[in-house]
Amino acid sequence: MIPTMVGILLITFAVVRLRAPGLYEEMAASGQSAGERKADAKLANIRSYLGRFKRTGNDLPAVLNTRVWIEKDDVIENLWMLEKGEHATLPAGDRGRAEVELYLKGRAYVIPLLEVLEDETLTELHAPASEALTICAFTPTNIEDYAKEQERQRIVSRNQLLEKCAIEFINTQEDGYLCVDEQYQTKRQKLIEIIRNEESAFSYSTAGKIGATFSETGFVSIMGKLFSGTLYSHMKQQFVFAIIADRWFITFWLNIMAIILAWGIAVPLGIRAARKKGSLEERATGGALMLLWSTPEFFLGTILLVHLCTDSSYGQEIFPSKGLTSDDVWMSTPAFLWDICYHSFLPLIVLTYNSFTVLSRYMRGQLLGELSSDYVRTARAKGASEDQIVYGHSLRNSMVTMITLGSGLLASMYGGFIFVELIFNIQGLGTLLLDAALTADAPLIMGSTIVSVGLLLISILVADILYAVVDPRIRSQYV
Amino acid sequence: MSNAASPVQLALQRMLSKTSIRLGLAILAFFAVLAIFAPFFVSETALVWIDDGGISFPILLDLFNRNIYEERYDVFFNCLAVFSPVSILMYLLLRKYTMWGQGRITLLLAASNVLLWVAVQIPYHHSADGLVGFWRPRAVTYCTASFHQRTTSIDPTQYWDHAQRGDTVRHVNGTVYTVHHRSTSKHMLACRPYGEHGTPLEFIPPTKLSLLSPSLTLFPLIANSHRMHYQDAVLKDPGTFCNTTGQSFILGTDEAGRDVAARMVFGARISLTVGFAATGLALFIGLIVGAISGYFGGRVDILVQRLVEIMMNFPTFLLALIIVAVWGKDISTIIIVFGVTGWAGTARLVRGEYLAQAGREYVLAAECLGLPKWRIMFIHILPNVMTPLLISAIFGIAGTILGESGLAFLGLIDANTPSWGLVLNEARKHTEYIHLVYTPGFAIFALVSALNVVGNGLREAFDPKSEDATNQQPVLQSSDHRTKQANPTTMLSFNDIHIRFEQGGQAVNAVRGMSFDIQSGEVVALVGESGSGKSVSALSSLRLLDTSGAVYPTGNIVWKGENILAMSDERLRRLRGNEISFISQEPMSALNPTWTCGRQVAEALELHTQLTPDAIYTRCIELLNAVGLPDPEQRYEQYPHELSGGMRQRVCIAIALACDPDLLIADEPTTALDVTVQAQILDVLKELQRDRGMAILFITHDLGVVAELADKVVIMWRGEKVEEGPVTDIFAHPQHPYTKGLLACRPRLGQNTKRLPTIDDFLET
Repeated sequence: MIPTMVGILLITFAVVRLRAPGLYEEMAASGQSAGERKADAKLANIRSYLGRFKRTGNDLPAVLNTRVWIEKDDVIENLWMLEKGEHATLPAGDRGRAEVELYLKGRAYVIPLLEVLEDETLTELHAPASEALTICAFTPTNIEDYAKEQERQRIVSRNQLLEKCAIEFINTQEDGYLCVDEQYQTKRQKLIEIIRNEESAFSYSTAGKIGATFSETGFVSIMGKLFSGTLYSHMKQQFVFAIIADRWFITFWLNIMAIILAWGIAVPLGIRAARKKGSLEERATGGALMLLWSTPEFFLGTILLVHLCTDSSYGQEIFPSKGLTSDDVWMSTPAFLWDICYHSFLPLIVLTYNSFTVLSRYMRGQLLGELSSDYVRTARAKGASEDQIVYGHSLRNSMVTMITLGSGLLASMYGGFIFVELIFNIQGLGTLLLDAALTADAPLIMGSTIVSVGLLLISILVADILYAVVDPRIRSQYV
Repeated sequence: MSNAASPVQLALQRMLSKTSIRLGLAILAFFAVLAIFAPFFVSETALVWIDDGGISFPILLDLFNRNIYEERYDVFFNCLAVFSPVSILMYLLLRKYTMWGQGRITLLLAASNVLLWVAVQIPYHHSADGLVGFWRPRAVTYCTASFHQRTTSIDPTQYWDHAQRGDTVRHVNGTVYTVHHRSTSKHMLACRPYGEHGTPLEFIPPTKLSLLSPSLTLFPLIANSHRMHYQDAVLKDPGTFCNTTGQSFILGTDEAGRDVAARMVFGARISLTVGFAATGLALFIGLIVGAISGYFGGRVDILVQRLVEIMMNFPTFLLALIIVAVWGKDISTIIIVFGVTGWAGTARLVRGEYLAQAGREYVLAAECLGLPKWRIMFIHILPNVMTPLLISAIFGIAGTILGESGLAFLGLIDANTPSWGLVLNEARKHTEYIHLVYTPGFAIFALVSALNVVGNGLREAFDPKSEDATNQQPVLQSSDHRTKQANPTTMLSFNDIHIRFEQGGQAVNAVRGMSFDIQSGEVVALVGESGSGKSVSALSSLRLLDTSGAVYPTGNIVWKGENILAMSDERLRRLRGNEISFISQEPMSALNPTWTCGRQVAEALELHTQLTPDAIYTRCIELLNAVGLPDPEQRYEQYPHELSGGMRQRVCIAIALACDPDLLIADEPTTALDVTVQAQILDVLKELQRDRGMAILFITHDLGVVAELADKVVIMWRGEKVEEGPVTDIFAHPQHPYTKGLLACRPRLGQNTKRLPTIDDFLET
């Protein structure tokens, strides 16, 4: 159960992550990073993107963080690589990307960079190292991360202080790195001082490094946000769970009603089909259900929308085509219940017809199987009537399969919601997921996935309980 | 039975005998033809064109024109369109003039088709001018102007008013052009040099042009393009005539001015491509994963099953939706997504089949030969799992087509593809135009339901058990309704009874002309080997075979002067359990697993007596005690699964004895139990019979039991009674060779035989 859940989340994460644009692509897309630009424009820009990246966990490697093993020498090499002068190894086109990648490395690079800055023999690299340092040590100030505004303001001013300490330099073809800052030494000392003060936040012990290799990853980060409820959608400017909380009732209501309806129709239908097996009536119903089963939900939904929800030459507006409740907030409870039933009538039809066709087929097959079993023969030999056999003996035994299928409905109906909500203009979780997918809003996709996974888990749990209620053999395994 | 038809052929015949399935196959064929020959139904290019230069077939040359059919799947279907008639012809010729087998020819033709497709692909390369290469469109696109409706000699000054898209015109300088459209603002005609598709339009005053005309043209049924946006024909109702093209739109147009009918025809290509390709991919992955998991088992199996479980639990459509939305909306992504998300069901199916097959003899034999594992997996086992795989594939195709249309309906497909779902999506916004709802909707519905019907038919045909056990009412054609009963103490008599089972068109005669009597208080043993019809006879005396399709053509079974076969249901219910009761062979399954044992005993009493609940409880405890169950109060509350086999059989006996029946039918009551328990159960039965003086019809093949218990023995063989008589006579002087054989086959203590004789030693065949 739990591995299943983690597996599903991992798959979704992989899907979203593999296609997520990198920081460089995102900056290029917004037209800010193309060509040569001034250092501070770039820095400011990078900082605003860093916050957004942190929200999706995209600032960290997906599942394995090897950055924590970086040493001072690697960083030196890295910095030289970015130079345009004699040490340059990169073609001009790739330099921008490599720069951004370096700045994106975050806290793991802080201490090695600091060591470069402190090393008196590496004066040439001090300026670029200071720039990289101010960005790597930059703490994004996304509002969702801070419960208190003062705390956030403190970090903001700390970030500003840090930003001022970046030593200005130019990177030219002829001379390579060239420091142009008059306050070079003061800025350097100040920067060393600030970072040394915060050293504990950036340094790792060996055990810490091993732990961080696995824990400081995009997956863990987004899972942490998911389960602590701090997932934030940048596109919607809202907490994911706040958005879901706004809409969950609609989906919940439709889901519960749909399952009750589907069961309520399927079980009697299946029983009737099984008892009338081979008769004309049974074959006709079977055929009709088969055809109904092949009807796409969106087709039936659109038909209903066109003929029953819109005033036109082909239809009349008998049912509402928008939302699940009227706008009137001052309704009495009975009026509200009537209103919600009236609004959800057509959506429920579209949601259930497919499920009950499947369910009733299974019900029929299952009951037929039970009716030819040995214990039914015993009951017949006892002189029990067919009614007693069907309702007394067989029905309960055929329920185990029905529970399995019914619990599957809870999760599988989620797909149906998307169509129903889209067609009838209902602002539920289905349209939310569609929106999220279309805008590639990673946090919202993850949030929607966890809702569907949650439904799945609930349905498995409910099914397990129901199994025990229905079947004493299963009950005896637990009691 | 003749060996002319294999089981597969029989199953297919059974399947084809149903009208619904034939209809489904016809619909599938219709869509297949529509998809393959789409350009012949929908195209702006003429099928036949006759002019001064002679006759030409422009459509054939346009099939591989990349400017018109740029998608890879379009080219594939066009290859098929050319190649399928050729291959049918070749097939017939090869069958007639060579000795090659069916398989080889099919393989050859399929391979040639793929080669053709590849050949068509290769010469393309991109250059500054667009696509060039061997298949560069050299043909001329002859467009759809209805020349024959107009006079050919139009005054050049008036040509502006008559010019239509697709007209072939000659410039005064001699160059031939095709008219593209009338440019309203400039009062010019936008033309392209004849046959040059990609070239920019040239604007020419109509006065410089003169019209060329063919003497005869034949255009496809729908002479519009499936991709063209007809600017002045946005959202037209079906049948609207379009002035620019001189064509009417049979099924109207959509919001971008595209011909809906044309999109429907080409939409079939998309649906079939996605359906088949994605399901093929899913089958391929599922087959390999499932085969490895099922054949190797162990740790691999556990790991794979976990993965399969995750995939099965994941709402596949949601995953597909997310992937397509995030990764890209083109057809190939959709195919890959449905393939990669849909394999889990196949894997589970294949694994199950492989697990079942892995222990079979032929697999062991192949392993003993030292064949490599992949060969055993995919050459030896695979053919045996093909049928369930094929059935699941058909349902898979239907599901994928639904999925693809669903994605398109949500707008998750490239807006230029003529997908059915995309048209339906527009209907949501334009509710005035119901042709946008019904045309694509019915197309999806027809294709999907045809696939489902065919899949269902296949399943029923290959697994007759699942569906065909028809609930026939027993056919009581007892010719002999006289209730012959000479002896007044005779309780039950079988008079020349025939029992036949009819299932799936085949009839099996289980019992042929069986007669014997049971006197009151007598223990009769019915002896015979498995399949000799003894259980069937016994069950018939309570009419418990009605629901299994048993038919009684002649004879009757008489209970105290009443014909059981002619009894009303009501009378039968009062008979069962009350006057005649029954103990079955399988104590493990004969009790309802969800009822307590006590309740099951009590039910018999509730049905046949008027006792109060308390009295029933007391009587149940007595009964449970009488059959030798220790601690009856506790047993009363227990469920069958909490008892051992012997205890369950005692509960069954208690149920049977509850209402003091006059006759107890015991159908091999001890076969499923171990030897010590057998003896105990027999003791219980013997004791009860002695105390209550009831008759027992005891069915067995254990002659030791017969000697111990029975007064009279009836020997059955192949559905007929071969001998009847008191137990001592039969044991002492067996008459029939079968009986002799049966007695000789018993192993005896202290007798050292080299080989135990079998029945066949005593019967001449």
